[in-house]
Amino acid sequence: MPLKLDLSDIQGNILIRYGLAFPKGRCVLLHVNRNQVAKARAFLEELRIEKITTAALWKSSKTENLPEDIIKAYRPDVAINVAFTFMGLVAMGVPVRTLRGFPDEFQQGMLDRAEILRDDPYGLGRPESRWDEIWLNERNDPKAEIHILVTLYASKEPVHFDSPEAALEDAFQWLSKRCTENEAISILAGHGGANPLYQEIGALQEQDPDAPQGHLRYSGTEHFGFADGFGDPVFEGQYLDEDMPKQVVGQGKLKADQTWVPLATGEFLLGYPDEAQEVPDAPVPLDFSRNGTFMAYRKLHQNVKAFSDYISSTATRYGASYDLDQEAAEETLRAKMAGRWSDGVPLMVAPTYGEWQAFRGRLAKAKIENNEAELNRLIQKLFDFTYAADTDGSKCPFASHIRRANPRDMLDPTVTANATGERLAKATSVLNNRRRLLRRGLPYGGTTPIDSDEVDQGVLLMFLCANLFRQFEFIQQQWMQYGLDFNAGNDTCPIIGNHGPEAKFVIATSADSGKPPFICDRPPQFVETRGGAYFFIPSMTALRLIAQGLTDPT
Amino acid sequence: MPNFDGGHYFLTALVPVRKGKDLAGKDRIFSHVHAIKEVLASLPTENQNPYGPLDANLAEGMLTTAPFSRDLRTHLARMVVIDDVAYNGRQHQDAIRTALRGPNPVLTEPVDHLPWTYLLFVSDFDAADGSQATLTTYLRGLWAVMGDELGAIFEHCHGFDPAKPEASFVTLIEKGQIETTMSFNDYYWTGQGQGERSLWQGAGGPVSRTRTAVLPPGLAFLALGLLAFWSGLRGWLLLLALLLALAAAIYWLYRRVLSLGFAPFPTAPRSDLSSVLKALYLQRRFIRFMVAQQGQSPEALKAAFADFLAEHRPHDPSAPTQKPATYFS
Repeated sequence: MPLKLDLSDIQGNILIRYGLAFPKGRCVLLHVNRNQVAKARAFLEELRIEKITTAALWKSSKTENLPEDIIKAYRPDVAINVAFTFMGLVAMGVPVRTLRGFPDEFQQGMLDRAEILRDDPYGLGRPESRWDEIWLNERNDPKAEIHILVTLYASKEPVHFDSPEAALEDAFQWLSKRCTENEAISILAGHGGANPLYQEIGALQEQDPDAPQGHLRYSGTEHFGFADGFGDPVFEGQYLDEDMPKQVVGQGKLKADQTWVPLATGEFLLGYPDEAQEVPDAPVPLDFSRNGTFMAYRKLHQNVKAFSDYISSTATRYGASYDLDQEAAEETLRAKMAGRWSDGVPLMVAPTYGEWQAFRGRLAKAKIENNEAELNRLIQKLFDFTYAADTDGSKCPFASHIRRANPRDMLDPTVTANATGERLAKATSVLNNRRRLLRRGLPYGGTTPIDSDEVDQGVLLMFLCANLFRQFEFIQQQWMQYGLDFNAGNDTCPIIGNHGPEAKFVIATSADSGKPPFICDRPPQFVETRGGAYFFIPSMTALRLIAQGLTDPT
Repeated sequence: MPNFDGGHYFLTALVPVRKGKDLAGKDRIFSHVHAIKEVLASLPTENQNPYGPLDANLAEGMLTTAPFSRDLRTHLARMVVIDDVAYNGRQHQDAIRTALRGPNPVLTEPVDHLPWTYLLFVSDFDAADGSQATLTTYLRGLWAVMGDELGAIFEHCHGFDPAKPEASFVTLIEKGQIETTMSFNDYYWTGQGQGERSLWQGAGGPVSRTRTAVLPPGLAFLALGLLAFWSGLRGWLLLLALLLALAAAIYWLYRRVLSLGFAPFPTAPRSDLSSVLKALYLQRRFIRFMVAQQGQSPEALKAAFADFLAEHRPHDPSAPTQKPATYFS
């Protein structure tokens, strides 16, 4: 029997992102008073029964014809979810035998994993820490220990409110009121940004091309100007059967016959077999861990000015080497760093500026002509590609961001080449299947990027996976902050990596082009971690066990 | 000889640690085993900077204090205290045989232990050959640059004479040396024909192309058998002669394969420590040179490369070069 997940037992935002339908959010961190566990549990019970948004499908015209055994829930104005740090579970009185089943890295927490993650919480080489103080306060003050994360995402078109902002404020006021009444729970202060009580997040906005001047729409871009949110893994049980064939292409795992199938559920949800056909380490009882997962919460600051300055100055030299005008050189340089053009078209689909423009032209034409078949075919190309046709990295550099983050078929160790470099078999994604991450999150800062490094702006990312050590930490340490797997020595990711004084980024050219490769010289720091923690996202069942104090590990 | 291969000597030695107590601390008394572990733990290791050279001056000026880095022959060295053999559970038993003939599984079996705690010293160093003299020279050279540290370690070893520290250090290692049966050489060279051996070639030293007329003794026995056949002897005598010939041929092949296996590989080009350090140094400098010269005219590039050669002297391993035991991830 194929797997059917109990969607209403899984918290929302795990299986699929709320996305631009919920473009405004707040992240609130709570502290639990361990001497008042009963009251803290009462708060969680209320949250569980009345507030938490699950993965259950929402009632809509699309879902009304689905069979009756599929639960259809009302779409909330504000999607609310909850997650716990290890110390949060300790504070909630979860039994020691359950706690010891949690993996080391989760018990240790993100702050103590800084050296592995190459984070800089204490300001190495700088006069002081640049992290938001909320992440560091707990080191000096036990009452500032981070225990619970509550995320609020407001719908773009709330039913009971005039705007997402109003819906969000209402939800926050409810939480705030509860925390004032309930002496066991307090909201922690110390977030960077306008209000220290929460981290404001929200999609960037841009002029709506189909509306009058001044009418804004939410865009999927981040502060550097890249369309974000492509390439999220697809696993068994994640989508309805009829949606799966379309979703899985380019997003699942690649088989030797070059077809795509969903990844194992156990890579992203606890309690299911993973890609090694094992059930990953998880706390007992199974009810406590199944349908739960882990989250690496990262506040990533973006030095928007440093990035645009570096691109424009380097593009002048880059353009001179390859006969490109400044505009084309800047766009190409940005694409070579990211692996996708700023609108998301992969370099593997359009390797040069000219081919990118041609692709955009076809896309615009299909939109104008309302040619749905052509449009679908073009959009599928944003996901459906491999690196087999680019073994020298001359199209998409080995060290570019997306090729590191998801190397697809390029690391298959069983594929050998003959003397002329021709591959003797089709590569699979075998070495990549256990290193995938679900990415959730939104930008923070203003609704449009500000040309500054000092303004509090960046992206708040939540990486979800069943094993933080094997998936999140491995990708961060080995693939983002190191380059050996991509024959790039110790070159880090050109966009999110740490850039030391000898940093560089190599843009390869093909041997028959007659042009030398281009090396980007000493890029400054573009992205900096400003805070974060590891969280456990419990299932609704586990949340009940925690909230009722009924976890029985025996 | 596996102790020596590819221009590297692979030393393995086990030296017993003194029994009894260390009175040096006066107020508190420790065992020598405790004391030697403390000395080893306090030795500085290599300088590794996980954050990369954040400050170029800091990186260049970093003091290399790992004592082995003072010896420019040692690639890798390691000292470990082996307290005892690891207990690996009860002897494997056939369940049916045990049921019929014992031993009674309820009774405990004896557990074996080492008579001493040992200091394991392994080192991989540049050497011309695998002779005893080469080893002695290396050990004396090591003492010359890190005698203080070695003295502090080996004074806790059985048989160390503080009155003759250098001589007794050398003697202890040489007496405690055991054969390295599996060497690890990071610099094996697989150049043209270097890894190939022929059964018919002369053994020992670098493989030569001249075929040596080694007549296998098996052929002689085969000839003997044929002679017997021709001379009218048949039946079991013939069979015996052929079997003898076969056994002799197998024995010859066995000895031949072993002797070829024992013959060391030649030294890989530029695999000595100084050359390796120079290569690392050049790699870092050349990358920066490449980056800086992008887009230059051929004339300017040629002039700059001449400056590069003059400044960094690629063919001179001695200087300028990278300090040993310093690296960046």
